[in-house]
Amino acid sequence: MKKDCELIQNQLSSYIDGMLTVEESETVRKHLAVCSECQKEHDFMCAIVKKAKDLPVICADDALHKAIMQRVLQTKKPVVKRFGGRKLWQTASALVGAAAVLVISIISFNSLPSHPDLTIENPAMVTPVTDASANGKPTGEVTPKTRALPAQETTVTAQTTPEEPVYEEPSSYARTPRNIEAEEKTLIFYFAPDAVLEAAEKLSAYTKDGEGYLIPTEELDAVLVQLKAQNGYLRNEGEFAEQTEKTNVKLVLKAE
Amino acid sequence: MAFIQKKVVNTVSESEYIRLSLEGDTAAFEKLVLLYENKILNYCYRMLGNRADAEDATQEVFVKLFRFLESYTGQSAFSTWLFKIASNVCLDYLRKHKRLRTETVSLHQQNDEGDEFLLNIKSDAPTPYETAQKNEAQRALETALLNLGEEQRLVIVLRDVEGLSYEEISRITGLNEGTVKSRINRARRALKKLLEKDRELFLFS
Repeated sequence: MKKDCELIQNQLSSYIDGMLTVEESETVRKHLAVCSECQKEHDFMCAIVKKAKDLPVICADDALHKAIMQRVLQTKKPVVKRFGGRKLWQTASALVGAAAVLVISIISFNSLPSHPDLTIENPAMVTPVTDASANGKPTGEVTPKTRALPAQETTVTAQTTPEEPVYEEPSSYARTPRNIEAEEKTLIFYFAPDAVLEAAEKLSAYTKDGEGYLIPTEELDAVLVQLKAQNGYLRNEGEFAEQTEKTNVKLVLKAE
Repeated sequence: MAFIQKKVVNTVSESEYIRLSLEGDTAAFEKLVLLYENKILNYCYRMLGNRADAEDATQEVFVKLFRFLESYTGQSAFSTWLFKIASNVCLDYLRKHKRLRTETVSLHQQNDEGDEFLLNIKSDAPTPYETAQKNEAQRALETALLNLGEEQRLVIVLRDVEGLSYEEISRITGLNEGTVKSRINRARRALKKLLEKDRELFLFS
């Protein structure tokens, strides 16, 4: 009987879910009718399954929903050249051109080829989601002051060698080996003029590259939080580069 | 935000939202998010054990959905595909963090009038409402779930919490139905073992 019980008990789960054949089911049923031990195990398992079904459900609140949408809209999608001419990366939030603005330019060294002749056949390359009304901006915006002020740019040289990030994509993506080319994505940070130098000081520890500073990805969040918390920070526009492994981000500071 | 979870998603509008999203319509994508954010949040919550991590994972899921929407072939149901993404996000998360953060923290506090109350740290502890509602069997089960191996927890959550069929679970996990069957069996037997001391709670609550 013991051996039977072991066999039966090993089938209880499937029995409960109706996943046994008619014969197997019948065998179990008959056994349960005469074996109180197995019947108890059956009832216990049923109770657990039922309790699991009745576990409380948690719901997303508004804050989470907003956070989801904000992250989604900041996500970069590669652009394919369709009508000739090099199409730049587009951001999900509206780009406002201004003569002298604080610009954080993000150059991401990622595995996406920047070859302008990408065809639609590559499923990885699609038109980005662009929506002028998309909410990629942080809260607490301050109306920018006069834009007549000249841009105070910190120009730098020195190009660091980009690392080759390793990308694990779904198999539908055919990634060819590529030369890493910097794709320039512009994230505009608006600062009051007297605050720019302070912001620049915060970045002085980082390697400079052309107009901006190279920030390792893992430090990016902290840096941006710092910049946003600084007096004189106005607002930002644009989007972050997709955070991949071994990506460096380039920040360029300008004043508004 | 009050949400009424519909069991049957309007599949016509769902495919419309998908189509529009692929064309760049963010409002349509937001509709997809609204359709599934609760479900995904809850799934991640049961897998990861606390709300904060579940919220992080949920965001991750929808970001991935957005990035890889073109990969959806329509061969399986959209929800199946979305659950697949969520499963991978959760498993990656668990493998990376090894240690689960469960909601156990609450501090005894005293206000100015000398009244004692329980301060629940928001992100990691259940609200007083939740604490009152949860009975012991529930809590025992939640703990036991988190003590299962991640692969076992995954199939149990999909089957018993989400109510998905063996076929759907098979598609989500990429395992054949036989394997799904035996894994669920082993997981349930493991749960029974973990909950042995609480047997009475289950049979009479």
